[in-house]
Amino acid sequence: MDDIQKYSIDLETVRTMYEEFGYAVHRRCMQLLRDRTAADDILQEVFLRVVKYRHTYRGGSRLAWLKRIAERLCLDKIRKEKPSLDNVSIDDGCETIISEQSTNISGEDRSWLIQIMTNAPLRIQKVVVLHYLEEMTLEEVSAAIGCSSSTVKRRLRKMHHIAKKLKKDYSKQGK
Amino acid sequence: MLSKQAKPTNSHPSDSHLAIWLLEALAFESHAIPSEMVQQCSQHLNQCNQCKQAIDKLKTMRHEFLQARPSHEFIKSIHRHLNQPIKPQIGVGRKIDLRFSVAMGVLSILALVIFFFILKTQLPDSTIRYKGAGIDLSLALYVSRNGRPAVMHADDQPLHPDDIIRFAVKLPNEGYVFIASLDDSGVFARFYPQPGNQSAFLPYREDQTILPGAIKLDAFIGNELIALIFSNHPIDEKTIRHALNLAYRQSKGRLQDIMSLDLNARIVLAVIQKVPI
Repeated sequence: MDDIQKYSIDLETVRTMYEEFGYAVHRRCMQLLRDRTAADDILQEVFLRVVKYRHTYRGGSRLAWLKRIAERLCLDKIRKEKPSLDNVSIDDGCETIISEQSTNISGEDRSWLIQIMTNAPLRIQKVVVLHYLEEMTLEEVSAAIGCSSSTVKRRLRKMHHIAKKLKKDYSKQGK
Repeated sequence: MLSKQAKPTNSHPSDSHLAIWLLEALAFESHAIPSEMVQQCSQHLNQCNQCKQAIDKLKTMRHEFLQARPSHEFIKSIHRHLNQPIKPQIGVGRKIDLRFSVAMGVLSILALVIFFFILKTQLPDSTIRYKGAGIDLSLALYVSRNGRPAVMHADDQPLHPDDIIRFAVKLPNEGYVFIASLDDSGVFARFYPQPGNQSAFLPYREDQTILPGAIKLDAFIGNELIALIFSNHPIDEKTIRHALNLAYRQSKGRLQDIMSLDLNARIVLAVIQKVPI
């Protein structure tokens, strides 16, 4: 049995999923990568993974599942390419995140957010994405990832530490 | 649920509007939202035109997205990828193994380079040839100093009184060999054969032949010409001494200027420098 035959049923499902959620997944990729070609590539990779690793789907929101796959792939890509923050100012970028006052992340702040996420462990990345990009409340984040609100708070605090450390490092470099 | 609370980290960015995840869920996956939440959302949407427009906009954007990237094209590309030969997956453990192997490979190459470098300084090197030497005929000098093992003498290094020297020759074929020296003051000395008053027969060898006997250098300080004379017939010491003396006179005592000897033989000449310790 060749690969296409093996996946033939799944490809119909993939078509439906693509028509329903392709745009939302692409949108998330664009938020993180800000590069249309790269977002297109990741979108394709997401659906290839859906075909290959469909057994890992545990029920619940398919959109959320697809977005989580996309986020992992995007963050891996960003980590490998080591994004430059040369054109991002600390005052405009990092402070918003460090201040913990808002989840409203502007384009430039998002560069910092991405940088922080690439320096953070996976469990923190998940919380950051849900809280800052999905705009979920702490309770919603805790429900989404299945942990307590205090754990979510602790992970966000850890993220703020990473942000502060990054800010310090970049200040030392004279940026 | 629909609007954020008062706590800073728990507040909605735009206090009275639906969060992005909820807007997307309502636009693309409304059937997956729990009914009680849908009710709450409906109530909000009845009052909030902005969120309603946001959902409509998301739907419009999806429509435009699918027009630009039709699903049949997308599925074709997925087909293509799935049909490609599967590359062997390299697991983490295997990656570490590979990295270890690469590191070991690099270390092995490095060790070999160092080994050959040391070997090059310790063993005869046919690429080092003196004046008159060819690829097939060469003379090498080994020096032992202060009781240490003999090492090949580098051209630019001086010798010292009491150094013990040995010779190695590479011959094109079997023949007769004589090694003599002439110092700055024109004094002749025979180095090989010891004893003997004419050139000695040596069989052909693929590698260099280290000649028997070692010579302890005397207290003379200055330059010294060393001559390897190779011929198909034996040549007596008297003839060689005469040829060296003639060349010495013609060069007016400048050993470096002696380029050849008037002998029916192949000659390799080298000038060594002896300096005080």
